[in-house]
Amino acid sequence: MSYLFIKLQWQPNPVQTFLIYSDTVSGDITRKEIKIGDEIQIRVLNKGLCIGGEVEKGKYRSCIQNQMHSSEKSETYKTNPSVRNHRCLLCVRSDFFLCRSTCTGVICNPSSPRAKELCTPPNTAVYVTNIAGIDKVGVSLSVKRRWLEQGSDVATKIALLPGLEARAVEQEVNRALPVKLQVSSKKKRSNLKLENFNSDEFRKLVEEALSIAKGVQNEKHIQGKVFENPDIIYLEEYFGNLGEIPSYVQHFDLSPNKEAGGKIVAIKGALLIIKSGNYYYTLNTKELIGCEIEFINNAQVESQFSLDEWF
Amino acid sequence: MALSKELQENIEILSYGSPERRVKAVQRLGRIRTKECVPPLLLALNDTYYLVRVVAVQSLSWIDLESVIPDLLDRMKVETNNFVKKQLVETLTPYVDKSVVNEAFKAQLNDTYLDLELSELITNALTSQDRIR
Repeated sequence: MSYLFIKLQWQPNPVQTFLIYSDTVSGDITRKEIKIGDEIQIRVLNKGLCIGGEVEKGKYRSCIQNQMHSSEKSETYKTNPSVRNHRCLLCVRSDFFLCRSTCTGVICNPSSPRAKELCTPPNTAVYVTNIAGIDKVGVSLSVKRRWLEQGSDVATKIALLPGLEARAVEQEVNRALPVKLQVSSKKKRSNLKLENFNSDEFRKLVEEALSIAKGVQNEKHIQGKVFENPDIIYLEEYFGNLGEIPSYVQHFDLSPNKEAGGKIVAIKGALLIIKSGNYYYTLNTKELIGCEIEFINNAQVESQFSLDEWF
Repeated sequence: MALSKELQENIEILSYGSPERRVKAVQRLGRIRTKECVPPLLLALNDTYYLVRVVAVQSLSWIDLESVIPDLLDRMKVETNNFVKKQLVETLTPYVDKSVVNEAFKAQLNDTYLDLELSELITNALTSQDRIR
């Protein structure tokens, strides 16, 4: 029986992690909790398929379910290939919060009434975070979930603003300070532990970001608030025992026909850190998005070359 | 029938309306989200008001971005407003693996007058494999 992998989802209160996948025949969605200590064994069958869309906040519909809801009826339904961001055109159009992926903070162009309702009040947090030793700025309506999903080591919320203005502050902070808008998975994989983090420097960066946020708020007379001396949150405790993981960790190849598996020793953002035999691997669930997979027993993991084989 | 009337109204606003009304019209065309909205949105890419062009890019991306990639790339070549350029880059980034988009992005980097922020955005798009925020 095969499934279409949709995403690894973090729930912030209480903190839990789930694998979300859909049945490739019926399109029904499963949300399965995974914990540290669980075994996971998968085989990748196919990739590049559509994962469906988020039709309401937190409610996903698979590509097959979206086809069933559309006006084009059929006897049988099959998941479409993805054309953009793991989605087919039908599912791109069904996403209630499409505007989020194209927003540059210049003008509000809400893609649905629900998106407008969510984004217009001053509920969008602007945050500064440190991930894998890299400082990043971002915006989110559910900030703790976002920190967990991206594997933030340390983070703080600097302002709560309407969505458009929050995006404008994010862009301004990115322009003015040495902070990124994105941190690649490769960087995250290469630095799993909170090492060489300087809390004083981070605090200084946060203060500078706060001053930029206040400037933008005053200049544009924006509703909402910029925080004074916000708490800095350490998130390591949610990811498992990162201390036991060696500095060199291999990465699972998730091409079609490859297998991956072992015991989950940590979950950091989208990365599952897995122990198989004597070796540690990262399984990047972002690479699994849109893949058809099957859950198996005894995955054949391609083992590490011995040191002798390097020469 | 109601839809075609709405379409017609918005197309007329695009031709004769004030800048603010033209912005609203391209927003509405994006929400209607049918293929009939694509030609007027493509025309709106040439609007004189930059916000109309920004919203036209967004609205097109909600309807059928793949078929309008050549039009967006043509716009990128002549666009002088950085807000519009940024919107074009953000919108086209998921297609950076397509050779036409990849080459167009690289060509932008050769522009000596390219804004620093845009240059960083394009460089990230060309090098990063994680493009979802």
